[in-house]
Amino acid sequence: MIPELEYAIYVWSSYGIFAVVVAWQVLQPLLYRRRLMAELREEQALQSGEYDDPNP
Amino acid sequence: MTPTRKKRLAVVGLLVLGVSTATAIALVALNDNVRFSIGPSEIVAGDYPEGRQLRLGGLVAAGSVSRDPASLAVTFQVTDCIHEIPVTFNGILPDLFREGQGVIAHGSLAPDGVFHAHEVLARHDETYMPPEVERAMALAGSGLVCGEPLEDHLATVRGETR
Amino acid sequence: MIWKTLKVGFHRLGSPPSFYRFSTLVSPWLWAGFALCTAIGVYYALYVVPPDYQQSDSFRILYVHVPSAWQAMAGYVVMSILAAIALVWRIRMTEIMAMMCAPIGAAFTAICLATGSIWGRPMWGTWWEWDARLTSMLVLLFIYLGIMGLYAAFEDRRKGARVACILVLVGLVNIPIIHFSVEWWTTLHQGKTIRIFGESSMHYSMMPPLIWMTIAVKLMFGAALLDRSRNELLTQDRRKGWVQKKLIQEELK
Repeated sequence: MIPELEYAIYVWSSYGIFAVVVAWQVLQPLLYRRRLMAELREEQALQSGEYDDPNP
Repeated sequence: MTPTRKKRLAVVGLLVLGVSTATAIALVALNDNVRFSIGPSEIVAGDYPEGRQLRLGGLVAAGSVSRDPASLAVTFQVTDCIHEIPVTFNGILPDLFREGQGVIAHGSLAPDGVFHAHEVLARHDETYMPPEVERAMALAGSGLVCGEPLEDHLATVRGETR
Repeated sequence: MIWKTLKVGFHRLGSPPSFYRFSTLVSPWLWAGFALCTAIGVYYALYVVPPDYQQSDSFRILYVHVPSAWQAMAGYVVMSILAAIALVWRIRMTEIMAMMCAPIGAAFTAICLATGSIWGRPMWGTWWEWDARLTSMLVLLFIYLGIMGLYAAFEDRRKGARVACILVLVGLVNIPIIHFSVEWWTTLHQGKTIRIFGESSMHYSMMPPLIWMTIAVKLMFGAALLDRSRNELLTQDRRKGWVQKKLIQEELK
């Protein structure tokens, strides 16, 4: 299944770095957007007076 | 296009042009320092003082490698197909090190004309091919040799494999 | 007629709500394309392609190293075009997009430098040498980081973008230096393998993964650029009416 490569550690660590950086490029905007949307919703709720304060 | 935009476009164009010109001048002035290595012919011809740290680049001459069986010491000749410089080195060589391989030796020239390297790096060319293709080429006697222009060599590679 | 449609389409993309809709619609498809191309590319790169005659399996690093390097440079060119448009026409969407190119380009530059270093250790015998190709690529990373830093340093995002756009155009000079470094100077790094004009020095049996991975990272660049630009737009326009309306719409769904 896993190919037997010479210099395997070098090859796999290179592909690993690629995978990690790509994953970060996918996740960073997703997480940022989630946080931002939550913030915006909260602000909107505050303005419209429908905000239930979690710690009153 | 409005006059303001035309003006801005001109400014942007001048900016790129100005920076490019300045960089080009700087690079031409620095040209000698940007070079990573010098060749054997330049060492033979040039006045590089003994003891100065240099990077010597070239091919490992065929049949010139001799290893000391008791230690890691190795001597070989670095050639550019015109001149040869003897090199001594004591350490671990990169995996790609072999006769005919491009290498860069970092060290200094001794008074006796021997180059004492404290680091040897291997260069590899920009050709990538499967081992079978390379073997077929070797059988056909078309491996790259001194004197053969690289373009001819590559043409042979392609002719062999198509 | 076609020109007019294009122009109208371009202007429409310049409007924040349209851009928001467009990016929300297109980005998942780009990510999907990226995933597919990468899967094919990596499969070919690790399982199908024969080892190199000289470098054996270590040359497989090429399939992540080279596409990343190309994208780091192509991304810079895209960013420069956007920056030039932003400076001349002051279109806000191009300002945002130019600025959002920087972190993605920096990521690709980092991949290129890291994998190159890992490749250099077994083959050249060194992690790093200050040769012209390696150094100019490191400079590219610093330029990308500089652009990001400059943009972040301004309270006024639009002002920050305009100042950073000037740095983008100044840094453009580094791109031809990277490209020609292996021809202009003697370097440790080898010369060009792949040529658009003329024949490449790579055996045809080794080409497919390179093509797949190159397409993959291009799609990824596009996808990440749309995602990031959409986020940045939302952050800047958080008090504006269209965002508030959008929020209410999404709440109702």
